[in-house]
Amino acid sequence: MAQLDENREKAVRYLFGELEAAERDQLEDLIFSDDDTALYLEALEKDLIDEYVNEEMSEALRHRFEQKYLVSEERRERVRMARIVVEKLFKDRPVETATAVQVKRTFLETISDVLRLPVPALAGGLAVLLLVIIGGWFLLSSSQDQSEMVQGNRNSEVPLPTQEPAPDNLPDESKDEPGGEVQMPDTNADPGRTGHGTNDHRPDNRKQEKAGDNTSVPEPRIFVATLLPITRSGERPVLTIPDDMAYVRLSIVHDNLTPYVTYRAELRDSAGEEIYVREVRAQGRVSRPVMLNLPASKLPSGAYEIVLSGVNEVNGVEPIKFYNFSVKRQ
Amino acid sequence: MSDSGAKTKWQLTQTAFDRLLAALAPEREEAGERYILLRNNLLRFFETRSITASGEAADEVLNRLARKLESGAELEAIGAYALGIARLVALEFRRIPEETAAGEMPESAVPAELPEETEERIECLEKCLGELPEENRRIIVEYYKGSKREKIDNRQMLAESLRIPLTALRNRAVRLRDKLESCIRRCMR
Repeated sequence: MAQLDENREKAVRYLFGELEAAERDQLEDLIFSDDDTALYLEALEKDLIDEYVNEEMSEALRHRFEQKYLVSEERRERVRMARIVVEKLFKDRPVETATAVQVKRTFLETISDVLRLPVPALAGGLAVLLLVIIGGWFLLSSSQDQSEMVQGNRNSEVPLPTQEPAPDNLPDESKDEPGGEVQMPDTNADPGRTGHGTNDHRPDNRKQEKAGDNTSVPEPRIFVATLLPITRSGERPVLTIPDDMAYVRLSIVHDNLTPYVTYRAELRDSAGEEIYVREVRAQGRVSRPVMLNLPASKLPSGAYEIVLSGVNEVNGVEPIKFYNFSVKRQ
Repeated sequence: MSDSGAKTKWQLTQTAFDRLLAALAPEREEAGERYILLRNNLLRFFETRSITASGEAADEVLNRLARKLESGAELEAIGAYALGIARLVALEFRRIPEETAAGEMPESAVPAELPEETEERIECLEKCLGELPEENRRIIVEYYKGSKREKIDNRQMLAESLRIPLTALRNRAVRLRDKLESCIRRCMR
């Protein structure tokens, strides 16, 4: 079962009749002896058919689907059936049931869910990360004025915005190598700094010296926020980004366990237009947050969505999570 | 596909079918679910080999399996046994020239249904949906509704609200949809 979960593309190739005979026979031994594997394949096939019916497939996949999948009357019948079921059941009646499972979750509930994750290492890692973020946020918010604290509380369900001066090695676009990655925040570091996700590896005392140096050039400032995949309340978290911020750094938290080659984060505006795309290597960071750094000028006031996807070894892109938020500039 | 190539002389009896279900699971409902799953596995088996008469081939495998069980055979790994039969049946179906030719000519479009067929299908959908318990109706609608990107969140929320893992939810939803579609097909006959 897990074997297939980790290789959706292999399952797709099986359905399309593209596997070599030996590989296909091996997979079939598993399908006919393990219900979970068979059900995984069943679910995948239905999802593919629904994507075809809903015209959600890429051009290339649609072509493959039509040439390789629609090879029997049984399969064409499945598509006809899906067309009716999708149109009449899953499109016509979403409202009456949509609210039935809407669960408004608090930030603490989210943490509690993380602690219940089935993989102890992941649960532990995420729990440490969240606790450190909270610690960092409390330390920072205590030094900010009252209005900022109110803002922080209002946003606490999803993003935890903080701000700090930028380090010397500012992660601007020109310094980000194409397809490269940004340093992940060190979750074992000082809680006062961790969660800000800076690339600054200097000792803290150097920063203090610099703060007292009146002759130094003012450093650009970075707005830092953490996005959690929570959309239960239906309310978009609001990031209030001061106008003097030069850069925005978003730490995108997810619980993906699939070992992708890279993670791909796409930032889109309310019209669905792509604003910024970043791919980072995923090796060794199965469930660690993905960092997205971009000039603050790319985020004027408005509504945004980030699509976090995984890219597998055959360049297949699979969505992992979606993050909706609004930006308010002031 | 003519009957000349495949061994279809033996006819499935109610007793043999009951034996097959009993061998799949002790409870009738679970046995029905396993039967649908096994048949779908067999359909995929033949389809991935470009055997266009996959339905006929799958039924042939199930008939032989039922016959074996009716004869009093005790099969421990029924899925593996069915797979063995399927490999033989695939060879038999491949020997039929017209089947081989047709099997390698995929049609790339799904012919549209006649309006009355669509109407009939919708009526059957309503009827079959009405037969599902309220919670199962909710699960199937919630699990499959929405666009590709919305589905991920919907499914996560549903699993959380039911307090079951996503895998368990997926298995439940797939079985329900299989059952629903199977009911619609029966209703349309």
